[in-house]
Amino acid sequence: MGVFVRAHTIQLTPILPFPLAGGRKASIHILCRYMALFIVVVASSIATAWADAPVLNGGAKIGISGWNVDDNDGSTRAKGSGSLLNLHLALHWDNAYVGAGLSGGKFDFGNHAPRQPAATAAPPLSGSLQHGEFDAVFGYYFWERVSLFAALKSTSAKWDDGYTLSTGGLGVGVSAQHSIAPLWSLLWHFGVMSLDAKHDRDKIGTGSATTLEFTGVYHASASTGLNFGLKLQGQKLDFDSGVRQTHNLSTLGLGVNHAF
Amino acid sequence: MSNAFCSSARRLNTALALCVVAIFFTTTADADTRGIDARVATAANTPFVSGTYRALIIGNDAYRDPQNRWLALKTAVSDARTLAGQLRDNYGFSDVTVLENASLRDMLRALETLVQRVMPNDSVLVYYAGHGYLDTQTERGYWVPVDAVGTDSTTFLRNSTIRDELSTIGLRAKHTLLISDSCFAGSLLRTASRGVDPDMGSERYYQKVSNKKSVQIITAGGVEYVDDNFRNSGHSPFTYFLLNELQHNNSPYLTVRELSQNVEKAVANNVAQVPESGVLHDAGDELGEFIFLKIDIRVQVDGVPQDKVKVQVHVEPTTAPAVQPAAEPAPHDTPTNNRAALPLPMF
Repeated sequence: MGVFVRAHTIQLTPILPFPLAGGRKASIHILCRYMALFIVVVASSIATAWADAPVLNGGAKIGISGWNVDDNDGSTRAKGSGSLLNLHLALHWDNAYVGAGLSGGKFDFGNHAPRQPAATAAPPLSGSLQHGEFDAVFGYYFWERVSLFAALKSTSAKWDDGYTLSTGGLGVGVSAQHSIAPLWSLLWHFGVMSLDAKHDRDKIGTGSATTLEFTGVYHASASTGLNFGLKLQGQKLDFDSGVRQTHNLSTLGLGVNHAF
Repeated sequence: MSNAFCSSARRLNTALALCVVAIFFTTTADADTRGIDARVATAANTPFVSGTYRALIIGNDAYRDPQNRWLALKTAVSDARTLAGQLRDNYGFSDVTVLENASLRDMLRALETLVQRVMPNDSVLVYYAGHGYLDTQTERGYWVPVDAVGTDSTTFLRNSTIRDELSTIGLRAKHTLLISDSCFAGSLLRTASRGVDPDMGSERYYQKVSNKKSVQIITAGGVEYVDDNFRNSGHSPFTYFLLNELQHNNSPYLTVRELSQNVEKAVANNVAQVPESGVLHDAGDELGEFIFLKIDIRVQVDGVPQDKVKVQVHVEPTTAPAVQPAAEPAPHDTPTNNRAALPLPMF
């Protein structure tokens, strides 16, 4: 177990910044690199834990999201909508699990995109934002239905003009599951995280994030679950420029998971 | 052989491949220097494998009735423990929950949890040993939990409630079996008239009855649990002969029909008690058969007599059961890792 944890901690540390930032070719390159890293991590974990018959779980989820961004001085308020695709892979081993997920999508803000946290207030931009997230999670079931988890998260938002804001940090959370009816489970998890905000790899602010998600799972078979749920994500960011922003992302998702 | 059967057989074969087989030698001989020949001669290699074998085993000894209507028993917990071990070790039950000295709430929650855990094609066994109560006026039968109070039937578990839970289990499980070493209301039991099947005992027969749903019962027959430490075995007569049949069965398949017939005869021949068996009324039985699959792993060690070699087998299902138990685990609960098909919590 100790080797298992240490290996993940060491190898997942340099994940930031989010791989989708910095141009399409670079994004694909970095994305492939991180996926390769993740596969290596998972594969090494499988090899390490094979005697204990770990279960590999893969899942995909699509969601429709609303994204609200408020400048705390009340100067701007942007509302966007878009769709998100999430892919994740996890390894369950006794009471422990480790996994990673990638999410990405495009959000249309019409003629009022969120303000870029530059030193001076810029006029509202029109257009859209490309949004991406990377999560690496390690959790442990300390109780039969309740686990505590730690996570590394990186997000990226890219404006139409190429301006990119990345956030990343380390958080902790609690996840629980309840059987609500035959073949149905309810999952929820709550997490808090401290963040650093970066632009061009330079730290430009700090903040915090919270996440609350409720998911209903229908167990179509012993190894396959269909899930749908609501995820609420919030970020509060204080930029060195003096700009303070609150981001709220709400996503209705539909997905499937399979244990191999 | 159908594809489904092939698939099931492959799954259990894989499961057995993952078995942790620990070999304990009762001799002080140095086993490392000797050849060890392990042969898995098991029903798992047959097509009569379907889903997960699950069991809820309840044994109540420590009654605490303030009115002293229900006195403490001596052998019910022992019955439950031994049966659970038998099912785990010899019959491949991978999900066994043992409730010892259960309150009414414990029993209800355990049944509810079992209902939620059951998956299609599972075989589910519920066993109870403890006081029973039959209201002769209403003909209602009850199991008596350890926190029961006198003859207050609101503190008992009604047989009809158990029937309802088993009916729900029967909706999904392929086979459901209730074994009650206590009373069970006769009004809920129907004699199963399966008739004489020309294929009986053949693989064709086992395949046929394993394909049909079953919701069967074996009861000890009397109104009350017989707590007389039969032949100093630490068990009631009914459970003694039940365990005896399971222990000495050397057939790869044992149907409930065969088991109940043998137990009924053995009990009736030895004590003033006549067990009954049949199907649960209005619970979805389709004249199928719950089939016990004997796992027979023979390990031979050069130079060590066969009777000195003991093998302990731990069978784990290869696929994760789907639903997490809703209740807190019982003292001897064997939790199943059914979290694997759930989505990963992410920020």
